[in-house]
Amino acid sequence: MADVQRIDLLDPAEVARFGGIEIVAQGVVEGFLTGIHRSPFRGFSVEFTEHRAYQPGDELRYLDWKILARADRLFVKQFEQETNLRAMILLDASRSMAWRGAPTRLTKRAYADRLAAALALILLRQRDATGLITFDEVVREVVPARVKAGQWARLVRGLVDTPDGRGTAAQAALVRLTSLLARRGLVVLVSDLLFDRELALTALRYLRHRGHHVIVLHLMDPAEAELSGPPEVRYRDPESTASVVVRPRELARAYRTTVRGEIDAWRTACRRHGIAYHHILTDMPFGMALRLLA
Amino acid sequence: MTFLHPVALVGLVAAAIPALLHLLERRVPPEAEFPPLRYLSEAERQSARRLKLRHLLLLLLRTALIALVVLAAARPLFPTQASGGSLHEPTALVVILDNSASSGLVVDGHPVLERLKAMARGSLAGAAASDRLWLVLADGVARAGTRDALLATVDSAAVSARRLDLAATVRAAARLVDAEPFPEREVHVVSDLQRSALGTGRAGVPRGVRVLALAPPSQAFANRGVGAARVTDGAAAIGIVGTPGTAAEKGAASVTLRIHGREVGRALAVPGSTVTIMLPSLGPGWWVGEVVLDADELRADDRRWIVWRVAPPARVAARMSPAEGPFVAAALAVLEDGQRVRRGGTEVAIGDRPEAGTLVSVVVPPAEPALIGQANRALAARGGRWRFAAAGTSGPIAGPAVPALAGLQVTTAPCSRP
Repeated sequence: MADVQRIDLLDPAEVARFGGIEIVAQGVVEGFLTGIHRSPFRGFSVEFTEHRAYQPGDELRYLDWKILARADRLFVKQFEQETNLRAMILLDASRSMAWRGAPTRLTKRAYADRLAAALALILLRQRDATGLITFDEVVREVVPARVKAGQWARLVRGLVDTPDGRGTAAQAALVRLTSLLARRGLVVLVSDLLFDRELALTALRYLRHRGHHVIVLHLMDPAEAELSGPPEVRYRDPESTASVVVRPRELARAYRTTVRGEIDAWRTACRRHGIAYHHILTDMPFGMALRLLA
Repeated sequence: MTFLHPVALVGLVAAAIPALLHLLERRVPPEAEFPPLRYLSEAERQSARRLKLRHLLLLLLRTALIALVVLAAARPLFPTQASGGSLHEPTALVVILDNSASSGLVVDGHPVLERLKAMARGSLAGAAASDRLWLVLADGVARAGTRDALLATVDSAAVSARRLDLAATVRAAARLVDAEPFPEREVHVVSDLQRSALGTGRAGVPRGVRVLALAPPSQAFANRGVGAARVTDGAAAIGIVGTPGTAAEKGAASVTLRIHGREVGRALAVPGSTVTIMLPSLGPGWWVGEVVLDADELRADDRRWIVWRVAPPARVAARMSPAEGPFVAAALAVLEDGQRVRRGGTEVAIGDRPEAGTLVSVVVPPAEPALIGQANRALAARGGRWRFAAAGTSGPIAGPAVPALAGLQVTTAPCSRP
């Protein structure tokens, strides 16, 4: 019953009514961390400090097997977070992100803003240097990765200052991003991935090649996953002049198959190149989306 | 398969409605933004063929549905085992084919009879083995038979000179089928419905017997024909008739007389007149002649056959006194030259008294008044009613009875009185 009251598990649109990005992100993170009782990114960006006696419930992977072999005693290793990890959140601010399938849902951009703010807050609390880059056709905002106080506020301001996209997310912008990420670290791409997969993968492969740990969060409105609508409708691409007249009922099955095929193709391609891929619907509670990253 | 309400088949036009709606539908669909248009286009590209096929099938299905509804409304009839494979209940059917003379009328190069025969064939062709059939021609005889046999009879039917009384024939046919224990009883009248065939009577048709009149479209044609032909006094008198009040009544036509196929005479005649064509010298016996009029639309009355007998020359014996003989002998010579008589027989005897043993006796007054009594007794013996009287007084004839002979000078001559 207590879980139900956790803000990170509520409907994102409901949560968004609580306040601005900061309030929502803080609430989500508090609830999220309370729920898991441990660091979501354990073993990552932390450094060994000391041993302590094993207690039931500790994870076996932290057992020091050498001490167990020598002294036949159970000790677990404890780590200290370090600050030399650089995490950069790449947020797609293209026009297609400012779309929602129903008025009761958040736009993909609004969902991405809050998810990115929550993720940045978690990383900063772990004292990881966290930065933000927003882009559409061009790079819009760049907040360099820092760990100092006030960084989260700068990140949130960067999100707020980035207007809803006026163009399409382009592979050129992704290439430009790679030049901004000189030092190795964690790169989290938050996008609806409505651009050419091969060209985007080229840029992501390059990042991976440069030693970055790359996570792709594929945002999708539920209305984009399942086609529905009036008997006949002319759908127009917000990022171009292209349009097509369809009968959603006739095309629903083929569309669902195509979307699933596209998601599978992204997942397969990312796995092949050592890139973490997560598909997130914008009606998924923020806590569950963050748990995908844990 | 046939239909109970074939008029309903007009509704098949409605089967075109789905296709017309499909072609004419020009709705402007609502417009909306949809970012993953690339997925949509890909899905549409992949399923384009399936969707086209589906739309086509849907169109065909809708069209077929309307067509089925229309066909159902037309009440189709299918052959069943109960009806012997036919499309109708067992039927007693009489087909009356009016092949009377008027059916020989030629319209647009084809005899009316051919059209009538086609109609009759149509009536008979729909019959099944479970039906009972009759065919009546202009002779009025009801021929029972199978469908194929009656079809053959129809095919062989020719224009008949007989007149068919339709009213009487329909009445008889209706009685015929009414006597049959069949659920359906029909009389099909295939006729040009000529006025003379309808008569004045009224055909009483029993309840339950359906009479169907089938008549080709027709119009009145001007006609002329050979009304009468007879041979008398070595000539053929031919009467020509024509449709009153038409041009055919006034126009002259050629009349030809043929004997044994050989033309023996020709004349021009207008309808309403009688022409005479002289016959050549013919031997004794029966002769058949053919009178042929120029052909018009109705050919049945353009030809007429006549038959006459030419008697052999009578055999004559003349027993006359030399004083009276020259006149009779000259007359006999003329007749003999014309092969009307022949000397030396006993069929006709010419003398001053009847000859016993002869068929005909020509008695001339005896030259001697004393022999008048003897001649009268011979006449009485032969049953003759006429008698010779005494010679009258010579002088002019006077009297009001024969004004033309008044004043004529005569010498003494015996006279005969009944």
